Amino acid sequence: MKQTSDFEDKNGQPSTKDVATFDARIEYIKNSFVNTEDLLMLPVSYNSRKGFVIYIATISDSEKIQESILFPLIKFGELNAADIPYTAETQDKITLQESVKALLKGNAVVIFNGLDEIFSFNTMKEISRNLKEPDSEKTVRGSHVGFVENLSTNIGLIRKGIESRHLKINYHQIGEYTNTQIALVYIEGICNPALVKRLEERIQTLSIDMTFSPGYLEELLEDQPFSPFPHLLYTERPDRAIAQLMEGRIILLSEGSSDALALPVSFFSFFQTSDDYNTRIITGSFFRFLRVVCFLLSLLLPSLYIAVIGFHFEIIPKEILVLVKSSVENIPFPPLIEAMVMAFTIELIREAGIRLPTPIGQTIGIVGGLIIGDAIVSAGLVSNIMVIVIALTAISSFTVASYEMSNTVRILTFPIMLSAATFGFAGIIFSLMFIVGHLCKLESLGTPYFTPIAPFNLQGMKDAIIRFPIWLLKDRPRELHVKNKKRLNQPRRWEKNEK
Amino acid sequence: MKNKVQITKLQMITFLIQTQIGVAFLSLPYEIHQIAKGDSWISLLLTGLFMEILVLFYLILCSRFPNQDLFQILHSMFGNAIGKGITFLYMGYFLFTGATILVLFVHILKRWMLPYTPAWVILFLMASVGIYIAIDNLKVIARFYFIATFALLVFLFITPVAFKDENIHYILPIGQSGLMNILKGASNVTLAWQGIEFILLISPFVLASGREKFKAATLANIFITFFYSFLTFVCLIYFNNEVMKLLPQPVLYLLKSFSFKIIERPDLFIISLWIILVGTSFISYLYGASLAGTFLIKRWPRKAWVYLSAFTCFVFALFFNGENEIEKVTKTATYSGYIFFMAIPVFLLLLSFLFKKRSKGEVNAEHY
Repeated sequence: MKQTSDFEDKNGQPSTKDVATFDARIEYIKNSFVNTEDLLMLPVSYNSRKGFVIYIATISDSEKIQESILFPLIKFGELNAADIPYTAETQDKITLQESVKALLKGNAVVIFNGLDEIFSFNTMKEISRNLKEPDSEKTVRGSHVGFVENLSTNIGLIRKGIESRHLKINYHQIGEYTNTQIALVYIEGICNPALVKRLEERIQTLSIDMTFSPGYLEELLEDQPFSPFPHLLYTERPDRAIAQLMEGRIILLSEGSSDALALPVSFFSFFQTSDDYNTRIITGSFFRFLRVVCFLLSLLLPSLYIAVIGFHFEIIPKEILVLVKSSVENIPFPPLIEAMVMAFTIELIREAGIRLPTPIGQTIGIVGGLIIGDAIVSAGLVSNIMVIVIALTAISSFTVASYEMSNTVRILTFPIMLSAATFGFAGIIFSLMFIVGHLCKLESLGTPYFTPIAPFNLQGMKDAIIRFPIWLLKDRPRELHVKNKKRLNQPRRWEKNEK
Repeated sequence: MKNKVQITKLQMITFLIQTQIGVAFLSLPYEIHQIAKGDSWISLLLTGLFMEILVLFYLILCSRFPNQDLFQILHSMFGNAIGKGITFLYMGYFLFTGATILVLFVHILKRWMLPYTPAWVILFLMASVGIYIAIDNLKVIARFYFIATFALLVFLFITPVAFKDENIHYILPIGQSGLMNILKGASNVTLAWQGIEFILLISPFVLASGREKFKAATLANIFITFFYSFLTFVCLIYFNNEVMKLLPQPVLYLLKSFSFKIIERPDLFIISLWIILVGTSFISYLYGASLAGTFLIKRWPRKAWVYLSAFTCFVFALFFNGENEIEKVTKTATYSGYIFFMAIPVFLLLLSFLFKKRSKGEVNAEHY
């Protein structure tokens, strides 16, 4: 053993000789773990040789230790990893330094007096919950399985869905202290290798002490962190992750998180749901279209109303004018203040209800929505129509299929309202120009974000605003520059045969 | 050149359309009606035809210098000093046109939409949008223009509503104002086509052969010509001669007279969309000016030139937006247009034939 660990360097011990003895090795491991109390050492002896089975109790499965170490010791009187069939990752003969890492993973390490080899056994405790449907992405039809917080289970779910030898998984470790394992999943032969290379380069240059959530990863890896628009698609559904993989995207999974990150995605990916493809073509298209319209509605409705009331009263036809006038007339505030107050209240209700247990959350909703809404109108602080406008805005923002995107919309409403209150329609148009300009600028991993609209791509439009029949979605998204462009060759060939 | 910026044919078409259709077209029917009366629409078709010849000239020039933009062509034709001199003039021309756009924009917007908002605020908004988009590369600008083209389609869909109250007799008999007036009218509205010179600037970045580029530019020109003629035609059959003389922005008056069940004043919506069209033209001129700037002083990044150009246009438009100055500014813009998008390129083409100059050079794409 020529390597020296950090520990030895710090104490300036002449490592090799001392560590070579049995006691020194035990001491070394103990010191490496700063004498933590969940490091257990089980004295064993075999052929009258003294030894220790060392493991960290909190992450090792004691049953596995019994089965894979203690029983064979008794049965064969000899320790040989090859005899133990059910521990796949069992290695024998590792170095002292490796043994520290092995222990951290939940392995058990066995050291004998007078034997140079150190044996390591996979006795990791599986900490995992049952598969259940993700709360944030419910569907009516189709699979109801969601990812869990265990990396290998998640990869397993994907592998079950794509039974192909081309499915490739690259592991990386992130976090100098947490050593979180993340997996980069893609399909070799479909995914553009340049994308994979670029992403891996980014991952390898990360230097951070910890990562506990995909939010960390997202912020560290994305191109424009200050953009209000999400660049990475979160999903907790294996079927959605699989669909993204099949389109040529990369999926990032990390240990301890039930979210998969898909990248690079485009703007319209956030409007797609698995339900679109599980319903009939016309209904599916209608729902997709509804979502896009709702996006625009929630972006523009309050500001349009403010602009009309504040600047362009003449745009309202006579019949409606009477209605609006009677509602707005006695309100003491300008429409901007009204709208801001209401929109802010909605945000309050959302934020208050989100982390509370469900029954209390519902109470908050009733108190906030019904009581405040009713009282604020009868008190004469906010007009009836404004309450309708803001409620519609909030509801339509929640129809957007992705939580991130619906937050984006509600955040963007505020500046547009402000400019509408200052410049009327002109203000709305100017802010729209900024937003669309921003969308045109955005690129994620070098692929344009606002495709298939800009740059325009007719093939891509088939799956953007409405959903075309599945047999017409022949190509994979062009902006990803996939290796295998064709998705299907001759779907519905039976039509020819039956003629 | 790993990340060479390239745009598609479709993007080239929308780029040209968006650059050329801008501030002028709301008042175009009025301007031309003063001269060509009921035959204005024929005048516009003639101008379009004339512009098509210009497009042909441009693309012949481009095919002789396939990898060079206008400034590099000037450089290789006239050498360093004169080439840079003319480039400098072009920069001035782009800045002046950009400023003219701003002046006219503020004038119309204040009259129709924001009478009490100070001019500098409107100018500032436009300049900041211009900077925000022009600062990025041609690809991003082209993407933006493609989306902006949808605003144009709204005009085409909404104006035919006028047909329910048309009176075809207003334009009959065809040819009433005489050939001379028609031709004179045609020569007077070239300002509406201003922006066509951008073919020379963006041509090296279009992913297409020379023939395809010509087709794309022709399509853009046809669209623009028919768009103008159509709008003018609609205005002419809706308003009679006497009324036309009184309406400086006939397109907006036309829309103002419509009323729908839920929108009483569609012109307010339309003028908001028109802001986008003005914005795109302005962005193009900022881009053009900054391109010329980077060609002059290579050490400065294009970003700096965009800021500088926008600031120049802003200041100019701030001081010259009185009623009297507007006419002068428009006139000057029209005449400078004759020189910069007709005379100089045609002259360049002739010279290149005369001296048998062709390019070998590679496009210098570092700034874009």
